[in-house]
Amino acid sequence: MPKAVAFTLFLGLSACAADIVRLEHAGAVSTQATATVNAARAYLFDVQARRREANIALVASDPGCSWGSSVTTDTAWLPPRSFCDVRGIPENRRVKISLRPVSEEALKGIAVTIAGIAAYQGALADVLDEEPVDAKGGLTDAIDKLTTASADINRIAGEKLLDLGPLTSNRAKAVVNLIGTLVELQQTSLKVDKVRGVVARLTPAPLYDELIAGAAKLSALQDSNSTTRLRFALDYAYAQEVGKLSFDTRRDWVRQIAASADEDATLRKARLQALSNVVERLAKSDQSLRDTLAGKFTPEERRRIARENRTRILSLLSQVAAVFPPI
Amino acid sequence: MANSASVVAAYRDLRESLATLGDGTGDRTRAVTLRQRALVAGELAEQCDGAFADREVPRGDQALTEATSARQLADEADGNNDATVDAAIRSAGQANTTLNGILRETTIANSRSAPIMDRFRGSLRVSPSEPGSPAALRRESVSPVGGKSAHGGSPAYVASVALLFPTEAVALFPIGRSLASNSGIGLAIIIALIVTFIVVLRYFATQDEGGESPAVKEILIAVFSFLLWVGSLKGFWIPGGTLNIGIDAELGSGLFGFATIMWVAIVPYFVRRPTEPII
Repeated sequence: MPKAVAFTLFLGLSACAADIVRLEHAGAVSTQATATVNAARAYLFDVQARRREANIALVASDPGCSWGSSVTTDTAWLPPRSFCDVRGIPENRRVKISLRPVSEEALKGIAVTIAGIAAYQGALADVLDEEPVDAKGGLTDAIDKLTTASADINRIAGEKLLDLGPLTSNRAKAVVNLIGTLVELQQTSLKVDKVRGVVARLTPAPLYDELIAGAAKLSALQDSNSTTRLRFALDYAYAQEVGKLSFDTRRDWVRQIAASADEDATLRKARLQALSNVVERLAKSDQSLRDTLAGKFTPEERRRIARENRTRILSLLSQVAAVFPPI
Repeated sequence: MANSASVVAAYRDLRESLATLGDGTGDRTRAVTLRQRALVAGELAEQCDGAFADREVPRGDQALTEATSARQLADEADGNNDATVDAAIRSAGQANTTLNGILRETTIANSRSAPIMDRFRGSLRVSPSEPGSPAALRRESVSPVGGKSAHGGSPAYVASVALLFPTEAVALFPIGRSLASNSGIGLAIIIALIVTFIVVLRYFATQDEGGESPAVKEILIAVFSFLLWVGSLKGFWIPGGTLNIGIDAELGSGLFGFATIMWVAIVPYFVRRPTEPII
């Protein structure tokens, strides 16, 4: 086999094994981005669900309150007056407590970052999910037709004008396999080019910080307000009813109040931390993808690339040898 | 005035301090009252964040001071000392009332003026208010009146001409001149009135989304265009009037007319429109 062919193959393969590592990183980013988008959406859903529960408890805590878009209370309210009784209260002391879900305006920042990350994931997934062209199938068909045509020509001519015999045997198969492998290498490289394009075009790194900052703000203000509402509702209702309750009912009620108190700090932090962890993993995967696209591989990856290259070179050389056995 | 972020943070902290004091208060009624104050403080913080979003809050300083003071009282109060708890409750109630009053005033003011002002602001503006601002983005989508849009890479020329040339004043002047008859002083007053009208209209109609930064250059261009137009209609030549500038009226009118057309044709190129997509 000519040395030039081997050298060319070697160059192609060096790029190929690295490209496979790059595509794996792109796959990891895509997976992590999906996980992040799902986690962030679930977080928003949780925030809304807790707000709704708190609102329901708030209205239920006082027979004087009724469900609607809001309840109105007095900024200087004192028991035993009904929480929702604002008759005779000056306008500037009447404050509306919204019973609607957390406003879209408040969620806008976080929703935009989620959409940005989803767009990045979508663009990567489009490249990764792209089906490779079936070069082998096309080649096999072409060789089959050529073989049939040569057989027909030979039959019509009554003598052997074209000797395509070897192509119909193992050699034809080897040619098909070799070309198929080369096309596969080329397509891997093309995919990496497309991934590079996506990565250059979309820079989601600032979105990661924005997402965490948005979620932290939501947690500290709106979500914490839900907890405050729930806690007030439970305490208020309990204070009104405690004298009429049996021990068991009081115990269940206090259990709810205790759970609400626990919710206040620990669980809220844990939820936020869980989201932060997912985003952190995405940020790391994204950085690794960018590093590998820039040719920066970890020692382990370099060893793996070298190993894969050896395996592929041997495989390709054996395919080349199968094409040229008689030479 | 104080920035809404600092006001929101102060009321959020107040909410936390009141809730903590509520946890440590033995008297059940007072504990519930503290939680109500905490609930209201949190709700108002949320409303303030939604209403002002990082902008200045009118009388925000007062709200900030009262919330900080109430928080301090709540932090220092002893849950088993009714007097200190009551002081914290009163102070928190006062802080909540103040911010509630501010938010109510803002809501009422917005409901009265916002819709018309929102439509008005930026309607006569040619140059971009601020890259990426909602006003700039909206202008991008409505700009191509005749010429190419900004996305096309060149100024929307016809739209710029229409916005920079004060057609309202041009229509007003002949009526004003007939009112002034042959009085030079009367005509001077009419011209001054129309110029004032141009300036006031454009002061608001060239503001950006936030109601700030009117396009001074565009206002001056509109005034100058109007004055040229007055000349082209022989407005500076009143027989026997004081505004006669000493050139033959026919010649002067022709020269002003020529200058008006040249000016109107060229000036749109001196007012920058965004030439690239902003997003």
